[in-house]
Amino acid sequence: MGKPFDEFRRGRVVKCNEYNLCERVDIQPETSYDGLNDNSYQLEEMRMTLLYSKPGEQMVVDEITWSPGVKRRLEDMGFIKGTPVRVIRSDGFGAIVVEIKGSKLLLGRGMAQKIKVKQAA
Amino acid sequence: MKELVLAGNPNAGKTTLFNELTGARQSVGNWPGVTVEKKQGKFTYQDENWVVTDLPGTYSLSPYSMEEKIAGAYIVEQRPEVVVNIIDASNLERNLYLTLQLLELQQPTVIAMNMMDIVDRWKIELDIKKLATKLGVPIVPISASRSEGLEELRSAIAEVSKKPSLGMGNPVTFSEDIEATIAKLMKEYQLDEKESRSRWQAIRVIEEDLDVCASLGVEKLHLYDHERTEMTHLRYRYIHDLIDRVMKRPERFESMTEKADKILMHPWFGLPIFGFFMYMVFTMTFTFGGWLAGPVESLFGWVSVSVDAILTQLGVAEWMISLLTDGVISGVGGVLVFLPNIAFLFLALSVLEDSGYMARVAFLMDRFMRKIGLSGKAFIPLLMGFGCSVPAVMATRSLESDRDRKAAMMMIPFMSCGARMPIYLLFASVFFPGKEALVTFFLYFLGVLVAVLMGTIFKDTLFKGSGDPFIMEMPTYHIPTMKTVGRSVWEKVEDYIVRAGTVLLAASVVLWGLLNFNMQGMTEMVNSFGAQLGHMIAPIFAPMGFGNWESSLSLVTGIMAKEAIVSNIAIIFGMGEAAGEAALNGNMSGMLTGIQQAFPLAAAFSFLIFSLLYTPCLATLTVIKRETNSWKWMFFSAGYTFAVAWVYAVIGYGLAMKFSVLVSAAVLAFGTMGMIAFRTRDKRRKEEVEWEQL
Repeated sequence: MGKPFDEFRRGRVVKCNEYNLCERVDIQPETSYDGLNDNSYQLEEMRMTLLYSKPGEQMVVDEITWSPGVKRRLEDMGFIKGTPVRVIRSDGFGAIVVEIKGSKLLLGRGMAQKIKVKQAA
Repeated sequence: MKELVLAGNPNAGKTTLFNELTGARQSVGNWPGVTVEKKQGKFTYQDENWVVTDLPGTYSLSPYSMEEKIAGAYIVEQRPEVVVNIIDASNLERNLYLTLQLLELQQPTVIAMNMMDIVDRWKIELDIKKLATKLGVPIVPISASRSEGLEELRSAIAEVSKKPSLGMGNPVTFSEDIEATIAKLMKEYQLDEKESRSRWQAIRVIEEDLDVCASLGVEKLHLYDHERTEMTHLRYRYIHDLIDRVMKRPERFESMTEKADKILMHPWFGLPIFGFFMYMVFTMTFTFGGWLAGPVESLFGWVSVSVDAILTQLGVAEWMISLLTDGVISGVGGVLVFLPNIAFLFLALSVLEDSGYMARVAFLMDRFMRKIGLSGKAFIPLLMGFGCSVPAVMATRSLESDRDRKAAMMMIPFMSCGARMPIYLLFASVFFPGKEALVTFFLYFLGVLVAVLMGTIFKDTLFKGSGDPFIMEMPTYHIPTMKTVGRSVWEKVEDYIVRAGTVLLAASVVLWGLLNFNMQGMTEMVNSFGAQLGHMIAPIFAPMGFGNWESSLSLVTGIMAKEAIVSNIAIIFGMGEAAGEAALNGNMSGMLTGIQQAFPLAAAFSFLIFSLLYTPCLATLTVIKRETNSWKWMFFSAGYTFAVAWVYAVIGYGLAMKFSVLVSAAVLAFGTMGMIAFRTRDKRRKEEVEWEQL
């Protein structure tokens, strides 16, 4: 599996419905950034998760799109809307390392995928 | 007797403090109904006796996992005199979250502020007095690893126990909305406002603690999802404001831990360094363990001979002597010989664990483990399987979800343990002289391949779906203390002796009975129940080329302990124990002819494969039973490994009959690799969707 960013460039994203059932959607690279294509919105959206955040960039937690149980667990660990979070290590495979609330956490890719983030203001 | 409970985050130094407070006066058990460890200890201070209960290390009291539920419920139900909350001062923000939840319980609390030395080193100014005033509880700075501040902590505990109001604290007042909801809930379920636990119960209803909900008769769930998030938010905001007032941080600088991680978690060097550590661990385990194993073995030999001599002199019946020496002493001795190895393995691993390195290993291995549906954490137990499956199965405790633990436990037996080595050496030297190392390497490699293949299969069948939501704190590196490491090694050694020892004792006696009796009474082995059993089951082994009762029986007895196969072959094939002993010590000449007669080359090849893969030893099965708390999984583990071994051995035999052994070995290895590639390739797209779906 290539690096996530490469996958974006190739335009392969996963689209999930409200029941968390997902399918892979192919986006044409030429049309993905024009702002008109419906898929491009999703592309941007996908980028805004912890998994695809660039290491070193200061982000804030926006939303956790996960089951209530895991969401609560993450909230207890400090992943609350508006909390500053920074990816320290992301190799494109395996777990990522983030810094939040003054300590470093290892996050599996599945976890990181479900934490939406925003650029820090 | 007064009771004190110890609560705190993982990695906050809780175990070290527990050991410092109680010394050797400890007992380990399980919390009722679950496999979470419960530790209790005692100490005396100013003529008062205290019981210390170590709660599981948790980040919060939200009823999310077993540990958190236990921690909260225990304090509320048991109402200990004092709750001691140990806090890692270098990680204040996260640690205070649990503190706030503890204060909500409205029990007398004392805070032990650990790792003040790190705070000093980082030049962080922390106003402990101000923090204590704000929180409303006494705070005692300690250094658990250097035994500093313990006297002050004990005196604070004693003081609070005499005057509970000192430690009641100021729990967070939530926003108006939430306070209104709490009040509404207290009214709705007729909770007495004066009762200290009422407010907590109302909060628990919002947090959806199913036990509390059930006891109050709450029917509708998911009513307060919004409030719950808001409460977490408010607690963290409170902490944030608090820290702003009591703590002054210098400019960001690179700590020792960050410097170390630059090397230890390096994208290229991280793995080789880890490989080197592991090489050291195993060298140490086998070298030091080996030094001690010799004396232990001689000790049991000596005991056996002396018991024999004494009992003969006393005129005890021969069968009784045989039972004690051949059955009990050799059975128990066979297990205890591995004790030094196990102790050293655990010593090394507990140093790695306590230092904080294991979290880094989990990171380094996650990318590979994900392919077989496990997280990086599961790598350690699998690796330990090369030493001995028993501690490896015990080490799966570090995995959170039941699914991951079971998946790892089912894979561990394929990692070729040290006890299987003598079989390889014996057969290799007889049939493949000069190629012993190659044969042994092939078998180890095949074992790993089969384990991985099984992992990829289990991932889509038995252990479908999401595993552990993988989230793990990366602790600051620490130098582990002797006391903590020593205690944790001792606990495991004790466990091994007691549990595995008792079952093995019983099993040894049964085997001895099988091999020495038939319906008419005591008899030669050839006519024993064992031989009859061997004849009965021999057809199962016939397709692998060794359908005689002797090898069938030695494999069955190998389930007792794998290393016993070699000596059993010697005994059962009637070559005498001396030849078996000699073979174990590397002198195979006594056994050459007998084995060469009994096995054609192809059958020897399949025998090796079968003994590599088949049913794990009794000690392992016992531990699997205990750790899964289910007979079903124990029998499954015994059965499916047998089936896998049978299939591989039969294919191996068939191949070896037609082609050379080298070709057959290559076909088996590459065939397995091909299947792994096929399974992982096939699933790659699906898996990507899966983890995103998690």
